[in-house]
Amino acid sequence: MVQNIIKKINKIISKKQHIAILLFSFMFILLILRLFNLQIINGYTFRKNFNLKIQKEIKINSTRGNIYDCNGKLLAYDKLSYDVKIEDDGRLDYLSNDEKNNKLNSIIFDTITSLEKNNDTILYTFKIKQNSDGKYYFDTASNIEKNRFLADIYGKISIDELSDEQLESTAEDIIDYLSSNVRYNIDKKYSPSDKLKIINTRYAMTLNRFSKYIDTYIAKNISEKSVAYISENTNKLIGISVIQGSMRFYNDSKYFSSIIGYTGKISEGEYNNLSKSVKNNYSINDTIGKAGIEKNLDIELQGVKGSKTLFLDSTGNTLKVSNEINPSPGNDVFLTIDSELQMTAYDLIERKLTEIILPRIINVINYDKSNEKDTKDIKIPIGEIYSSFFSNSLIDINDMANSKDGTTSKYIYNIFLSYKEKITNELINELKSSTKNQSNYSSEMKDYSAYIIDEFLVNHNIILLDKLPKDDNMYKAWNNSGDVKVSDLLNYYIANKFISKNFISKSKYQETSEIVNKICKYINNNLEYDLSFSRLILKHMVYNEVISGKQICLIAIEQGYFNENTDTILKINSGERTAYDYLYGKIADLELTPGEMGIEPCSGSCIITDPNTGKVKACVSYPGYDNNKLSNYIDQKYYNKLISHNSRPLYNHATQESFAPGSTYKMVSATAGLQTFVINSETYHECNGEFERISPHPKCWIYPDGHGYQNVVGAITNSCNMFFYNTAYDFSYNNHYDDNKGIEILKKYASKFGLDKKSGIELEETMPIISEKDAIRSAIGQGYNSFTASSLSVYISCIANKGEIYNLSLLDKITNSNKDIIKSFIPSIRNKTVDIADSTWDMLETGMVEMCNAHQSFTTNRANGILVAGKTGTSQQSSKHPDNGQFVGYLLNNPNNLNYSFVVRMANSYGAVYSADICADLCTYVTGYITREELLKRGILSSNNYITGD
Amino acid sequence: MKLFTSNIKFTDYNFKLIINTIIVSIFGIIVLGSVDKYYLKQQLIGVLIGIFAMLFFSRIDYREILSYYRIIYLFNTILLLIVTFFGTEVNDARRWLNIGFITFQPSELSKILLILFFTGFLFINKEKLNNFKTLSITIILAAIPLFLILREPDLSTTIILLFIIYIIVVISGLSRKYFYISIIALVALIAIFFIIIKIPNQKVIPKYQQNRVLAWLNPEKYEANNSMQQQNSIQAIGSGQLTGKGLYNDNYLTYKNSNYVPESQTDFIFTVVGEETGFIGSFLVVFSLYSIVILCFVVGYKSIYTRGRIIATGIGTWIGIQSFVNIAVTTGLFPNTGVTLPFISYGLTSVVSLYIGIGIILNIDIQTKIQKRMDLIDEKKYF
Repeated sequence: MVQNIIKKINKIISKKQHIAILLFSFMFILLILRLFNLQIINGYTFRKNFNLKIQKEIKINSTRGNIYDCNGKLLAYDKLSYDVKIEDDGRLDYLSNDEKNNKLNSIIFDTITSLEKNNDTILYTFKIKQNSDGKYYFDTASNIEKNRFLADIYGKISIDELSDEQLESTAEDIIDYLSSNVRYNIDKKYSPSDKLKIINTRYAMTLNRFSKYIDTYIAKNISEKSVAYISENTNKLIGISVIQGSMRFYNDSKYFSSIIGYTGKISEGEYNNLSKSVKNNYSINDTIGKAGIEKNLDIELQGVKGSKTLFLDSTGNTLKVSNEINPSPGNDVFLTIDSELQMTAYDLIERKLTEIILPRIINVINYDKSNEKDTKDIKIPIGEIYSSFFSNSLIDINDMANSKDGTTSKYIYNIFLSYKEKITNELINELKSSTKNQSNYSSEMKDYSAYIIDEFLVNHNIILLDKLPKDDNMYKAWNNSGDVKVSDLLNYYIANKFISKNFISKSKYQETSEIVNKICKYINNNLEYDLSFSRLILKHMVYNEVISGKQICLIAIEQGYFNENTDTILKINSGERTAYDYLYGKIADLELTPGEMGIEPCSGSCIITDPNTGKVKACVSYPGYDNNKLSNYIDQKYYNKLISHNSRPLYNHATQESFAPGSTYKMVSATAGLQTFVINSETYHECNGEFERISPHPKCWIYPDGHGYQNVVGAITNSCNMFFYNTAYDFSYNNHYDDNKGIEILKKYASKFGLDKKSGIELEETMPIISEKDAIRSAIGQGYNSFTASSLSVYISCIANKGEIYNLSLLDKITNSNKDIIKSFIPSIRNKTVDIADSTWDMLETGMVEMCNAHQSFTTNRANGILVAGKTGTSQQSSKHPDNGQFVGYLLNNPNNLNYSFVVRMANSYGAVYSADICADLCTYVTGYITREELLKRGILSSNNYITGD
Repeated sequence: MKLFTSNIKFTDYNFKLIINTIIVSIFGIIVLGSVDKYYLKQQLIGVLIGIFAMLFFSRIDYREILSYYRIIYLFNTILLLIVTFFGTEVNDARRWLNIGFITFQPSELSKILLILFFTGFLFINKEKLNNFKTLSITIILAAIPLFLILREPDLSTTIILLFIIYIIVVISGLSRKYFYISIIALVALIAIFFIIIKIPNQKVIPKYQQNRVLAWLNPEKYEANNSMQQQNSIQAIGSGQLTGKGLYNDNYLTYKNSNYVPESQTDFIFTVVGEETGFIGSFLVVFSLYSIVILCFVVGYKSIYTRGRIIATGIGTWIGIQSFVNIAVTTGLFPNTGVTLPFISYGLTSVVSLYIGIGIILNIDIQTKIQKRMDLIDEKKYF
């Protein structure tokens, strides 16, 4: 058998010519089959895929629409810009890895150098910077941020995956690692600062490398010189291109930022959340509105993108362009806002807050507010202003660390470092074995221990808060009384496994003390970069008078927060000018504004509406912010300052801040009383200061005095609580006092004034809350009532027009780029309240007019014959904070028949008088008796004019 | 014997072979012109020189040439040494000689020279062929030029030459014993090669060679750099479909016009054939080349002289294996090796060498026909 086969093979092989012919026939048939497969069977697919590969559809961005005020004043607009982009498009792939890195680095270096020569700013997002000594440091706000950055650097998904060695990397280590040939292979010939710039761009490219469609920008809005340089050197600067973009700009940004918002690059989440119908018009590289009108009207402002088809060769060069469709610019939005009115109201609030603050500043570092019996008497110690420089980032701690030797900044920073070390050691000793209960610590140590347990260890996922039962006795004891030793608490958490597994080794017989040591070591290592902890320490250093006011002023001047000539600096330095005087002057000159200091009172709001249409003429949230610094690309330092700032600039105080309406609510209670017939115009209640029908006895604000006998008009005029307590008691009465009945009646009438729903304003808004308990106190606007200024604006407008509830609106019209009107926003009426008697409306108005007539704020208006109806409202926040003040009102008879309703509110503003002052000034202004310039020229009143009243 | 063959009748010429060769050449010129008009002119000159050389060699008695086999070997070795020391470097390879008006690629010429040499050498030693000593000398004689070519570096030409020489040795009368041994050795060598290729940091095979093979094995993984050219070639040929995108088109939707296939005038000329002339053109080229190969074999088959048979088989194998490898690379059947497509790829030395080869084939055929006509010998005796 086998022999047979061998014989046969031998036979064939003997005719070698035949084998050759057969072999080659077979080989060529194989080729034909292969060609048939490629060209005939799969040819169509290959051609289709190829066409896709070679044609690239490019979107052309449209210009974003402008935003105008009601008089056509430009508030937000786009400006054309040239941006520099870098992409690794594969044209360098023919090089070896090292060569490619070298080439890429030199291209980046060349680009950056030429940009900087033309004074263009390089986008810098890398979290390592260089100090004045040339040392690298992490520019991160917290240790978590630093560790996340490290995880990104080492290509780890989470911090847990980092080795201990990696976690302990210094900034220097990171730069060395990234410069090595494992990563970017950055040549030693580059100086440390150039190296950092190259790494910044390379790292940004690395972060974007998996998302094919996200571009890496080197600089935005570059000069024409740079555009020319890059265009002329495209052959040399492989991968670098200049593309046309646009920059968003805002005029008078701080006044309008709370309405307009800002734009920014769309986030992945935002993109995915877009509804299907609009998703087509967006791409992952787009700029969209992030807040305010920019966000809510993004579709209108965005415009429609154009497109073109490019035919590209293998190196990405364009061979041909076709199918060009031009983009159509976005529509322009016209607001109902009167910009001058808006700016005036904003400035008035800022000035009034300054006027409130100035006389209350005392030259004392430490001051205990809870010692004041009356919140009206709370003072503002200068120490609080000093410490606000640190807590509100008016002084940058990182900048201090990196300041030159010999400066006050450096000097204080070194003191801070040793102080911090001492505190850290003390804290760690306490964590290991506490000497006393937390409640017995000094207030300073209390702060630190609370920070470590409640914030640091929780934020770092070491104490697992979600595993901790809320009814845990130890947890409760810690949070409520603090009668716990910190070390006991920590041991307890470890024993009950409320601690991250990373700190518990696998061996069973691990001593608790070992785990504590491990945690302490972690804390010790990580507090170094913890900005919040640093701020806390600096605060206490101020209160312990380790840092003096003089030093703070000098640091602020060194960092450029204040601009001063050497003469002044010398005076401060020598003590000729005290820090108290200096800062007092700065506050009085509005160089240090209440919004910047962030010390109560530091915020306010004002909404001015046409009560007959619901159109908002001014919607002020104080303090504002500079949205130019957030649009286009975010100024991270500025953004961090805003989000951690005590005055909450990013929060809309007019539409989001919600608190009790106080006496401004009394018109609701009066209406409820009149409409349920428990009172009429002739019903009198006696006020002796204290309401004794329920217990504990609620008081009238005039207590221990009394208002005597009051009817409804008088009670509104004098804001007599007692009258409304009685009224509420009476309509709650159903054989006995029935709180639920009272609450239902109050709710019913609050709804009739539109207080049950959001105002409808086109901004983020907080839902109003109508009190559900305690009808008596709710009747004077306390209880659980909580409304935004925008809700109160609907309410006062409804009183002004006697029963019509308009939705508030900021929008006037939308036009296309040719100025043709596309959409006009007509007033939208929500409800018309018809079942309130005319006599009721009259009584409310009479009371409110009387109140303004009696009020000294409105003296000027009275003299000019301008009739204002209004109501003050004071609401108590707590015994440690000054009361919130507010004023609602509207213009009555005036020569030009102007229709305006006003809401002015300032949290912690020591009562309502100041809000009434602002409203009075605004009335004078809108009726034309004083101009904006004249108002601003008046200067700051710093007299000690404490006024009582409600 | 005289150097120049006389008594040639017009009908002694193998017109099937001549026409086939010229058709393929003209097709090649047209396709090259589609790549760039410059190549059209240059290749036209090359083909004209080639035809002249073909006619010249068709009249020279190949047996006379073989008697100078020592000189041929020496000449070839000297040329390769000159390249090694004085050659022009292009893309890290030293393959070309610049002799003033022309660049010249000795390794292309080596193919025909070595076919002639080994035929002559093995014919002289045919009685002692299966001696170990003779085989050893053969291996050493083959190793010298192959090593020089490998050093250029030009692995693909080395492998093709090795294959051709092997075929010549087999045809010349290699015993079955050695034939089987050689087959087993070949299989083992290929196996070792593929094992080495899989080892990441091996030192035997140059990195770029290794990557090419790996890229061929896993195109997705290596797409970015190594196999991009080959992948693009496959897609380009496929996208040609039945009739192609047309020669001389200025359509942007072709791989050629969008520069996706570099060096398309040499190693990847078949990509242009496939893309622009489609399956029809590709088939024509493959079939014509196949016909040339088979015609060569038939000439050898009919030759009454063993030498003629060996040379014809060697030349046929040369054209056949080079055509096959080239097209197999462009269609992705083989890893990327730098082999030109006979008669079509741009290159003067290559074209002229091939035409010399065809000229020699013609002469073998003519010699057979003259002998037959002279009716001196019984044909059958020689089978």
